[in-house]
Amino acid sequence: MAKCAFCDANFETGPGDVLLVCPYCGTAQTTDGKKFKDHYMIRVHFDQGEAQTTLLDWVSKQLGVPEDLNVAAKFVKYQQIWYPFWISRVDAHTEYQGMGRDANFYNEWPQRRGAYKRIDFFWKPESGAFTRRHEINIAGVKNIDEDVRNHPIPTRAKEYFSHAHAEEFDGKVLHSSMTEDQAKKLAHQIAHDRQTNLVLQEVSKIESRNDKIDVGETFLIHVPVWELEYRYGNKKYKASVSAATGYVIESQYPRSMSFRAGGIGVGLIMLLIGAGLIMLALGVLYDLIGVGPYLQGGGLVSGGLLAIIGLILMYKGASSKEAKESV
Amino acid sequence: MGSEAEAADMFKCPVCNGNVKTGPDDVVISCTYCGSTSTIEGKAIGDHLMETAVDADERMKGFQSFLDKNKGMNKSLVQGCKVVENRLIYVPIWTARVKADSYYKGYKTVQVPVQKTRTVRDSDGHSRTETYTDYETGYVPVQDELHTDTDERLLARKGARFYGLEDYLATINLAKTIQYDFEKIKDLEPDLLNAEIGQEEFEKTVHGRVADNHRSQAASGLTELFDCRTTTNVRGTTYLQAPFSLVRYKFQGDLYKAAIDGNTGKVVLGEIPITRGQRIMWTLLGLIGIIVAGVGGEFFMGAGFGINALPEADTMQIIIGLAAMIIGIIMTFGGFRVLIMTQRTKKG
Repeated sequence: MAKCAFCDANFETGPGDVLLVCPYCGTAQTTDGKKFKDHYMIRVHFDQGEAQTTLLDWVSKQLGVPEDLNVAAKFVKYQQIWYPFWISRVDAHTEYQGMGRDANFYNEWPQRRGAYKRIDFFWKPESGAFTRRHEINIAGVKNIDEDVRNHPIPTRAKEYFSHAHAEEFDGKVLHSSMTEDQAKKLAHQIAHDRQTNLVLQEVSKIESRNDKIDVGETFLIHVPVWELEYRYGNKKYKASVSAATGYVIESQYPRSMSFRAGGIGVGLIMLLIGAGLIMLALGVLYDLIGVGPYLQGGGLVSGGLLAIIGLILMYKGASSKEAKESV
Repeated sequence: MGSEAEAADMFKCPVCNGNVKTGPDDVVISCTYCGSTSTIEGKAIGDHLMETAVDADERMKGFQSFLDKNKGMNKSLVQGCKVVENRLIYVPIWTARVKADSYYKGYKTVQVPVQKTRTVRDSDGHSRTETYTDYETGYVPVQDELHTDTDERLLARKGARFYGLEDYLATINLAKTIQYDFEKIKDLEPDLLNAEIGQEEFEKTVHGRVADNHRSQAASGLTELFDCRTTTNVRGTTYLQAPFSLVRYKFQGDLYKAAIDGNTGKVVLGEIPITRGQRIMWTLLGLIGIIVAGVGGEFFMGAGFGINALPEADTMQIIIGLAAMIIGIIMTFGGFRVLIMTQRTKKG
């Protein structure tokens, strides 16, 4: 439980939540009651009905999805979750000194000018500098789904956070389990690591480095995502749909029995025919049916192709999959 | 309960004094009344260009001709599709020429053919020497330069991207841009997006991007890249507002999308449905491919290899067999790939 420092209301918090958003007045604040100003959101453009329709329309084009999905799917869970992200701009300038690899070449091949028989690596001191600007995006909650985490933040204009807007859709605004200072520290660390990777492309051993890493403006943004679950037949499928753009971030989907049966059945038949042709070509069946190596070239090629395609079809028939919309 | 947080920022247009609603991070702002564009401090920006846009009907035409071009045997695609979204947005883009020079050093390996001799014993027990070709590793030092002078574009929004962005940025033709003139596009009621990335930030970003490109290009042909130094020179930075539209359409109840260049109304990247009939046709093609490959293989083997090898191999037969085999294999994989694809992605 926490008490809002601005409207005195009590509200729920989870363990580890340090940057809180009061569900009554919408003020973002630290646990000490300090107001946090750089708090933004992306507006919802797809309400629950639109998100569900978009999801089903999009999912129904996936391979092997039953044709009656649009009418037979029943949504059993729908919640709008507002995920917090910290976005920092980091200016980094790294001067480095270290040892880089180089090589001498000996004994030219007479057959091929410019190519040498022997290479001798040696270390030589190198120095230089990298200047980069990094934009670093850190999820404000742990246990966030990988796909939601990596989904790009929409192009649409961000606005100051308004709790009233989230309430329109009964949205659940997640508190950030990271303070601004922690986010900045992490951004600093990530930028440092990226600079290190750049330097390590140039030298193999860093002997000294001088980093000027400046974590610039850092803000918190809440992005709305519809977390949906629908029932088809007697199974449930989960999906995440971006409430700002209607993109399907990820979705599990059903495959019809006829698709599965067809995939596995046809795949198996093709595999068997393929295997038969290969064995015939290799003459393995001689003892069995008295036909010697037969159709040597054609059998191997066609049999191999049939077997490969058969295996792929069987895999497609048996696997259950998640689909993601590419952005 | 629930009061609005602070109202969005207001920006006073230095030209017409209008109050413009801006996003929190906007740094370059186009006035929604008079269209004049300035930085958040009210300073005029340098070159400010735009592309004109065509109206929704024209975009629909471009979209339909894209469908028509890619419909294949699906004759009902153009009639059967239903567009559910077709809105015009003006996206802010920074563009500049970036001259980059790299000097790099590294090495690569090659296989050097070496003639060698060895002693063999033939069936009569006589020893004789014969020569044969062996391959040994050769190390080739590489020291080279890369010089490029490219147009670099960047969407001036933080951490943002949209469907077809890269292809869209590539289609922008600077020669076709005009001085920014809001009057020309006002009637299309576009959403104008302001820039969140300023000029200096853009120039730093493209420096990093071009330098990283050079490094990966230099490293691509080498076994090891020892050293790569790049200097860049960014010039002619221009702010450009360019029209873009994302079309979403339904076909047989399924949802697809296409990215449209608002300047020409043409599709730059789009998804095309695959109907059941098309899947069947491609599968048949795949099956025919298996047969063709098999016949080719039989031909190939029969000509010069295997048990029924002829004394002198028929070169013609070998070539035909090999060609049929390759064509058949390509047909097979091409055909069955369509069977298991969700949709096609086509460039406009």
